[in-house]
Amino acid sequence: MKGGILNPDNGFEAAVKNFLKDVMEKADIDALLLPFKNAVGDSFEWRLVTADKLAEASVVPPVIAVNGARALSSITRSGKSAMKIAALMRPCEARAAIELSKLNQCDLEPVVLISMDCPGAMPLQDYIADPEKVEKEFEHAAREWNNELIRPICRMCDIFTCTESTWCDADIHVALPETENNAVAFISNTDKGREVLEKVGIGREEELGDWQKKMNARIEERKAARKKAREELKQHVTGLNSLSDTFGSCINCQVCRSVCPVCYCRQCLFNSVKVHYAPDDYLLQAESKGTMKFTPDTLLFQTGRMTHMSVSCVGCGACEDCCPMDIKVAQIFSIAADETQKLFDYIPGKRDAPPPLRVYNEQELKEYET
Amino acid sequence: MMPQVITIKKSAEEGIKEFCKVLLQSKKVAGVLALTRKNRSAYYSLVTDPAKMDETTPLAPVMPANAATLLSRLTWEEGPPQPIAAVVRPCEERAFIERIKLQQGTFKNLYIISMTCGGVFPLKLLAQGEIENNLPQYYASLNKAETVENIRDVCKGCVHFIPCNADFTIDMLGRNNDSECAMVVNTDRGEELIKGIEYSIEKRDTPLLRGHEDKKMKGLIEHREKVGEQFYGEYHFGEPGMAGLSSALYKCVGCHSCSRACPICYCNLCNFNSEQHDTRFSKFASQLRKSGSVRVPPDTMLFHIGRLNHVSISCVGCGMCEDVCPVNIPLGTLFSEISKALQSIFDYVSGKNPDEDIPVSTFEEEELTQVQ
Repeated sequence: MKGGILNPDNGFEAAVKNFLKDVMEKADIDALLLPFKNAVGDSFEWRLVTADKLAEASVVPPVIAVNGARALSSITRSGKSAMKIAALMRPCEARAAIELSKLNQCDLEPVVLISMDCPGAMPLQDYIADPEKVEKEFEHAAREWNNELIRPICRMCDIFTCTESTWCDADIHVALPETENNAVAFISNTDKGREVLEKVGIGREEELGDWQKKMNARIEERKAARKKAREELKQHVTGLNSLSDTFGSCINCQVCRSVCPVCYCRQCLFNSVKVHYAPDDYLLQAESKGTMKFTPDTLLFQTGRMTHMSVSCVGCGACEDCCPMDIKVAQIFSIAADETQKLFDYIPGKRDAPPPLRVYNEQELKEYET
Repeated sequence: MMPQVITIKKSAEEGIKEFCKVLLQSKKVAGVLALTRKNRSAYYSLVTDPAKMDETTPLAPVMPANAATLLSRLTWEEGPPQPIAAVVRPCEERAFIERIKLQQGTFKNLYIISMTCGGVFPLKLLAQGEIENNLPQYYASLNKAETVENIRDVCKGCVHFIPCNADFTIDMLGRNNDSECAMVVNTDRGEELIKGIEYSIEKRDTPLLRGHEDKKMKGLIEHREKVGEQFYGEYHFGEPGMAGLSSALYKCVGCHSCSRACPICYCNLCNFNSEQHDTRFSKFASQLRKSGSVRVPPDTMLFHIGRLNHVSISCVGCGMCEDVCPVNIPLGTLFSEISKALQSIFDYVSGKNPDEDIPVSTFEEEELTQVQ
């Protein structure tokens, strides 16, 4: 892996901010989309800012309060942007943004998408309960790449960086310091990214061997963790009975859907009159077993949502972060998503490959034909 | 009419189950909507088989959903074809009355069984499997007509714990219900329903239920009023204007869960999720030029203030919004206190009187002259 290295004087945050400042000045970028601590300091929020506000930004916030793809989508979804925007986010957020652009919910044309090495994120509800404690834990987790502390969904994520043995389709990827001199490296993945690095005078040909070696080891670790998690989680979702146990405590609040970057429908099918039946139907349904769970649609909602979005699921964990009933919804969806994605040989968040449900292929899924 | 009282020689929960069983067995109702709690999960069940009543826990002090939302679906549009009885809490009953006024349900073929309410535990406690441990102290406090520890904040400040329009009310507060419980028949239709049922219940014609005038109840109401205000003050909502409000709402992640869980927010597609509220890029650009910084996604405050506008005249303070909020914004306290203030302007109490129209749906020539 090759890229450009910056040796920062005062930490990597300052180096990244300096880089972003340079990008704005030299690569004709008008605005930056970055995470900031909010005005009262009890959580984080996305802000679209000009260069003078850069100093206050949090380059790697401990939590993903709102998925960056949702932020980017809300800016670029309606109306062509006359401005050029550089957006810095975690790899899963960048993947969601690319996925949303394929689904016409996000315009990446005016955007330079920048991702960074992600040590994982902390559970949002834990952070809200005790920001100070969780911030400290995150510092530790990020420094040591301690997998114990981060969210379960992050522990099993193996696309958090950009080495040759993984992939990243953000225009530019920021490799966080792994060498003794605290160097930050910038890797370009697209023509747009290469052009930007050129304009700010960052080379692209320096060897990143040490960093890559360390990252590759972590990727292997995470892959093993994912495999193990898959085995453990499988029993919770195999067959209808275990599924209904797993989602038994679901109260059908549908927050998983509303915070999911991929679930972009304004009016979810499962929230529409389409799933409302006449009172008589409910009574008949109840009579077949003498009793029924009412609201009746929690499992239909979960499996329906899975059918709708799992091919595009990037495993960002927003659903699980917000679930009031602590259901392992992200872990389960992510594991199920592996299967559907494999079926179509599709990787969400990769540029150029169209979402499989958008393309007609005469010769596919033969094994399901009767 | 002097209210009839039914005494059942069973604990309150078993008594309600027994009563519902009898209603089902005698075909007085075709179904019963009642809560079921199992370990970490709780949900409403629609029961048609009397034997299956045993699986329910109608008095479990949790609220996985405000039943008004479910009753709306169960009575949509003309009411169920056969009678149904529902065991719900006073705030659920009040929310349903508001929904009826909003043409989202009907009392036709629906009988309400309610109770003097000790409040419910937050959903987090349910998710963590902590309900069982909290039950002894719940019933101990209930027997003494005191506020239970660990219940939802809104419940601690709730003064509407005596149901107003239930057909049947179980007397829970300030009474030991371990081996015998009392149920008041409040309405003519309730009396009509149980006519001709022969079973082991004792009917009396003296009211047992402690009403609003009862000393213990009065004391609790006064105490609760203070607590509500105190909560409101603690969260600095008291600070007038946007400052206090926005400080509490900064951490909002825009999931709109509060609106989905709200029994009054019945719109299938919320105005604030509609295309109408998409922000054009040009607006981002002009705001950026003005201040150099725009929060994204935008309009967090607009959503909450808009929702306050839409629901506060009917808000019953059930606390569902607060319980599902992933970032612990004290929305229940905020909404119920503001609603109280708004409703008092119109001399209106949401869900209290089914025959009274919602003030915003009526025209009065002579009102609010002070804001003209």
